[in-house]
Amino acid sequence: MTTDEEQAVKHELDQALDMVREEPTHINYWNAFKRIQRLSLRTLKIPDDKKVRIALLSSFTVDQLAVYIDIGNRLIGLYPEMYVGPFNQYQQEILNEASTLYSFHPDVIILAVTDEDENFYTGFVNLSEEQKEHHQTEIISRFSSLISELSSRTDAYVLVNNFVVPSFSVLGILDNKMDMGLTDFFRELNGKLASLFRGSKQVYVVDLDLAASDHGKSRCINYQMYYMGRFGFSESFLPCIADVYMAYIKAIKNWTRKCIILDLDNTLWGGVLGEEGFEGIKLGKDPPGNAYLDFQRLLLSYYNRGIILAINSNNNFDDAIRVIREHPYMVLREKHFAAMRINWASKAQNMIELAEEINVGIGSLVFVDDMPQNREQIKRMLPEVLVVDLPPSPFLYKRTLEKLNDFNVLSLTEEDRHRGEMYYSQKGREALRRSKMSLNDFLISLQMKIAINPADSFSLPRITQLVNKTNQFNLTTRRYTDAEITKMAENEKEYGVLGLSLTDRFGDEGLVGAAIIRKAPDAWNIDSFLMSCRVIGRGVETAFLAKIVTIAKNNGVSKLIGEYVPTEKNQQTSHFYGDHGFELFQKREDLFRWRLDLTTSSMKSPEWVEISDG
Amino acid sequence: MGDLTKSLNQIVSKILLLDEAEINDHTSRKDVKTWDSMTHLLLITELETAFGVMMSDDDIKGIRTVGDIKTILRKLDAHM
Repeated sequence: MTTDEEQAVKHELDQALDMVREEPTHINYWNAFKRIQRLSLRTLKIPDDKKVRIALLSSFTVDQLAVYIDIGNRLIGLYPEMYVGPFNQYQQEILNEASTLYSFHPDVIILAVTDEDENFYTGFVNLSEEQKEHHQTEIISRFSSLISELSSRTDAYVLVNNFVVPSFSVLGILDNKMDMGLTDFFRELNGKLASLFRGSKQVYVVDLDLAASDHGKSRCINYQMYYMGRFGFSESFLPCIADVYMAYIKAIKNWTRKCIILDLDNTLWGGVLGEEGFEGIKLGKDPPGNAYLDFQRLLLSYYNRGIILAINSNNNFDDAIRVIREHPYMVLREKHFAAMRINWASKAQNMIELAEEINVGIGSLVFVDDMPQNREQIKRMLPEVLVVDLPPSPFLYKRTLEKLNDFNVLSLTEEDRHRGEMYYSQKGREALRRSKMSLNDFLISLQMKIAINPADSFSLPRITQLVNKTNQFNLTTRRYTDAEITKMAENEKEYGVLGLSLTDRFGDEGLVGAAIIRKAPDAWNIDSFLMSCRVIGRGVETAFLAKIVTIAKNNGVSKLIGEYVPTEKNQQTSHFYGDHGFELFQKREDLFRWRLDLTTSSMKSPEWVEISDG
Repeated sequence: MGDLTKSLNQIVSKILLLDEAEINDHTSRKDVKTWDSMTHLLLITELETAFGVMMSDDDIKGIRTVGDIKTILRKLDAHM
């Protein structure tokens, strides 16, 4: 089998799945499923831990559910093989040792069944309490014997659904005045079913009743399709119930997330701390602060159940930690976080450091951040991280996180429940041990290439735009008009206007940095130095400054002067020149001037950034 | 090509896995292997949702060709 063939199949597979990702409609699920079935999937070399064999047995038409489960597996990177048993023959399949079910050797058996005794409802009012109990016992023993047949013949996990408690009773408002009304009948039955398998490590009762309630029972069946084709679930309910099954499959395949990485501003509280201050952020009893409060409560309950929490935020550390320690309404405090990165480095870099410090794989992380561009950055650079598509409204944060089915394990140990605390004490012991090695590897893996060139007619508009809109990584925040910058660019004797473009292995970032230099005979003055936020923290800013040093030296200049003008937003750059060996020689409230003696010093450009001369 | 034909063809093509170009009024259940009783019902569900109509049992059973679908959609005054 050639690699080309494998590539082609993989490409078609990705295309079909991307269609579903972009537009997860019923018709697209169906179309993707059918297209994928036509591919020769056997050409793909799949590691065993990514394979899963699922048998689906049912008392109704279940092909549509198979579609959603198949695609649901593929969307998270698993390679399922499905067997769908013949319509309403699940009992024969289970009882016949030679059936296709067993020769298929499933890892997971989904038993999607309803009670078929259609006369039961009609006569329900006339049944005595004893008869009702007898009927319950019958149903339970039928389940019990079928499933013990199953477990004696296979090691597969068995997922059997419970009963949907009917939302209609002919008894109406008197249903719960009976000794056992219809609602009670099914609730009790579900209770008995759950107790029957409570201790089992092989059989799990899927709470179909809960899933149906969550979706709305009246919307769970499309009656036209139910009567015409015995379709058990409506188009709108299928993705919901498939998600429930996926929760089990993820747990079975150890596809479990362990750690939630949280942003701070507009994620744990409302507003931007750097702009609104300790008193100004929204967290408390009034809306929207109450929604953030509830969101934190949910995170605390995850913590108590053993999910690790950590912070990845672009903020001033001192300001943010003060909120975490002292804000009266913070639910989550320092002790709840296994690790924190509150700085101005890139979120991707922080993410890698966090995974290392906590000692979990990147694939165990869930990232929660309100800013779409941060989410995009992580999705692109660290595709293994589960990036939550947080809705714009904080009122929906809690619901969104509750809907994740990625934290499931098949059993919960005492150790699991205390994992959060363990990490906190470990953090205390090891302080902030950082492994520089693999961060280095990460930066090298980005394959960054930069080009630094004097402004020309192509780059001028973009440079002007950057000069006028960059706030955070901007040393002086001096704004210039198009005409002013053009003039400076043309006057090469007195000015240098430089633009920096970056490409990495993910693509072309375009022009992301600019500098303006005022030239005097013996000293060059860096009037402006700025970069787009999305590329800082990767060493590119150092490479840029080092290049300016080199150019100055080549021009026989002996001194390079860097200026810093503090604003509300550029605190992260306050030590930029100091960190690069400049010495502070002039300090006014609104202007800091740093100096580098070019006759004695030089500056090293980071080896992971390749500089191409244009 | 009218709007009705265009969205109809898209739906038929996605469910039956046919090229949109090969779909015409004479495309029939008899000739298209993928057009079985299951995909027939799927087709109906999608059409009803897309065009905001509800077909009767007779309508559904009577459909033999893509042309038949159009006739029924026009009869039901489908939203386009």
